[in-house]
Amino acid sequence: MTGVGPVDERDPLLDEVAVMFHLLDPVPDHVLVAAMAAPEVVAAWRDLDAGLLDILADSALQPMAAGMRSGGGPRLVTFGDSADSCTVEVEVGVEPSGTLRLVGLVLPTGPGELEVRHPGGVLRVSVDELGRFRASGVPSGPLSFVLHPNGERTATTDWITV
Amino acid sequence: MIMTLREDRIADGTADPMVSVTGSIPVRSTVGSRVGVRGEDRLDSPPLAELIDRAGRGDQQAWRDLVNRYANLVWSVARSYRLEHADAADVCQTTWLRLAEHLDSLREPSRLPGWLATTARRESLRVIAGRRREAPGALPDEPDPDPSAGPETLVLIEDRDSRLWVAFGALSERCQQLLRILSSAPELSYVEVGVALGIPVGSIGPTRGRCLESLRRRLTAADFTGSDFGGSGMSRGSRG
Repeated sequence: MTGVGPVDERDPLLDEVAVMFHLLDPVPDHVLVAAMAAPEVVAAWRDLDAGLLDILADSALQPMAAGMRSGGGPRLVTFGDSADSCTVEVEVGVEPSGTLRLVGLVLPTGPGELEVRHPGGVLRVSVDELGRFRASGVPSGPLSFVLHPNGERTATTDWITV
Repeated sequence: MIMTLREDRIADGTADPMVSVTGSIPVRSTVGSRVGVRGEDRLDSPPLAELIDRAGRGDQQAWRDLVNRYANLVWSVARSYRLEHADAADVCQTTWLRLAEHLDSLREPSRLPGWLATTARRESLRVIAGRRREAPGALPDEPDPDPSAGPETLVLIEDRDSRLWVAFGALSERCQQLLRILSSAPELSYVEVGVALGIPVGSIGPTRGRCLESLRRRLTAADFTGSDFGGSGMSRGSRG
């Protein structure tokens, strides 16, 4: 059962490798099920006409600065829009139980609400007048935030693995 | 050394993969290019642009078709970075959630496979870095065959496949990664593979040839029988 690839340079050995991984390391069913459900997870917020905040920086992907101790410091993720009109900074810490503790800052500052959405549900926390928020017991895995600043347009952040 | 990822190669980590693949990308036909893997790339499957358009308008079947077509690619990228099952599952889920979020704004359908591979790579690197922060010095678990591949599956594996598995495990990390991605997504252009793996496009062709040659040599040279390959990570010897 050899695949007929594009006539250019498809090596039959690559097809054998594909079949081998299909047998020995296939996509688990629960991964497929989760992927199938992604639109439903996203759709709950789709009607908001919310602006999408991209990931601007993630300390997990920054080269370690010289002299910094390896593995030092909590992870810091920054979301924002191209106009720089709204940013969310989040520090991710790991709790002893393995869940995550988030401490963050929303700019511009001002009281409001923030939702931490994950595939299994949503956590609602308040944002104080200085733009600060904190959440604990957050499951690790994909995560996104939905901002509800008082009197301002709602914004959602892109998804990120934490 | 298992970890070949270097921080200096991932400094571009937060750029939008949607725009980081530039220029005209030759996308090869996917028709008939795969065999027997979860019914992907059926001859009668609709064109990619149509699937994306329909999925963006809420067509669940179109979304399912997209997932079926590319789930193996996304999974393969995560696993090629030696993520254990739970972490690879997280990476896959983030990748598909992102796609669901960005589906409306996907301008060039032909770039979808590259976008998925790049997103999965970036999320894999986040997970690896995160785990390193939690437990400095710790290396990710070595991948092992899917637990669902129980004894009844393993006995079905042809002798050829088991010899291939061992020979593959003896390849360098870079070769394993490149060959797995290439085998899982024949329609990816070298540009997309280069972006997805963070390696120069010009080196992919020669590396691919060298890796395949090395694999072929190992397959024919010796009758490997579950020997230890010094932690190369793919030997099935540790499994009952």
